[in-house]
Amino acid sequence: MERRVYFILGDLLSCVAAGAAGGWLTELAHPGACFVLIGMAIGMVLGMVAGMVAGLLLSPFFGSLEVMLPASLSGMVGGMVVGMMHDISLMDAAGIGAAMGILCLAFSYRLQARLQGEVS
Amino acid sequence: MSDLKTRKKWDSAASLFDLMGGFGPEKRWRPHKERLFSTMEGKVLFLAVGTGLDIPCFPPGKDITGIDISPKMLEKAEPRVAAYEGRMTAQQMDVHDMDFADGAFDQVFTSCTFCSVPDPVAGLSALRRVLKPGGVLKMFEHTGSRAFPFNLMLNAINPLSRNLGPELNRDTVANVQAAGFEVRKVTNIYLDVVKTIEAVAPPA
Repeated sequence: MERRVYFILGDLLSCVAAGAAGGWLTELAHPGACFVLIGMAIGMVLGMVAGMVAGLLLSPFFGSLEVMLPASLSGMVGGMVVGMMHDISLMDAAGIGAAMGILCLAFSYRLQARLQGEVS
Repeated sequence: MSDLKTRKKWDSAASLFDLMGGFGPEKRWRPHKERLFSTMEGKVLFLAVGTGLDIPCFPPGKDITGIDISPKMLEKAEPRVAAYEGRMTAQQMDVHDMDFADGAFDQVFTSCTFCSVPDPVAGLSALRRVLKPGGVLKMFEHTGSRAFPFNLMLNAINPLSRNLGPELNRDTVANVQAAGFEVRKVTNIYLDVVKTIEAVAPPA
């Protein structure tokens, strides 16, 4: 597991920023009241793009795939959750996305704890 | 014949390579790379040198021959090659078309290389040829994943990524085996994506 504070804070910043960007962009582009699955699909695509861009921008500072994979997931999940909601502000959408980013980081850390180390 | 498409791709990437990978990614991976490279012994082939970001992780006093397909990358690597406290040369060469003799090296090291070699099994077979029988291949590579949802994400991003730089969904461990190596040890560094692979060229 990553134990260096600089990188842990970088992971957190990346996922929060990516999730917030995914949520915000989804709410901005959302056609309003639409079927929940369509909203989720729109959010998934837009959120993943936003997450990838956030990950790419922060990667030079904090790491390569360790930043880009959780950030892309954060954007995607943030976008999907916001895409299923109606009548929320852009600020709320970014906040919900940021919260999803924290959850996605926790998920990726848990997966890392399970997968790391010698496998054969 | 040199792979001009791959050469052009990495020549284009050379100017931004250190900016994108020189600080965060290198600092993050450095302890793992230092551990892997600390086992360098005898005559070593290092593929691919790139801009030489890995060179500060090499132990001093070794005999290392570096190659890379991109002349622009090698230009950037020159000061790092010159600063290495040991014997090191770097030359432009395509792994598919190396002009080293059979069994010329005791060990081959790679670092984030086989995400980009166009025909990975052929490239790895070429490395087996230049390794002595019983010689060791040690790799620091990123590969595809089997873990949901990252497997789906890497597959989705790959068509874009392969045109700009590396492929993100390769099964490099299987490629090493397909090239005739005996895989001795695989260690996951980040998820099951970034890993070290140790393999042996079987005796003739």
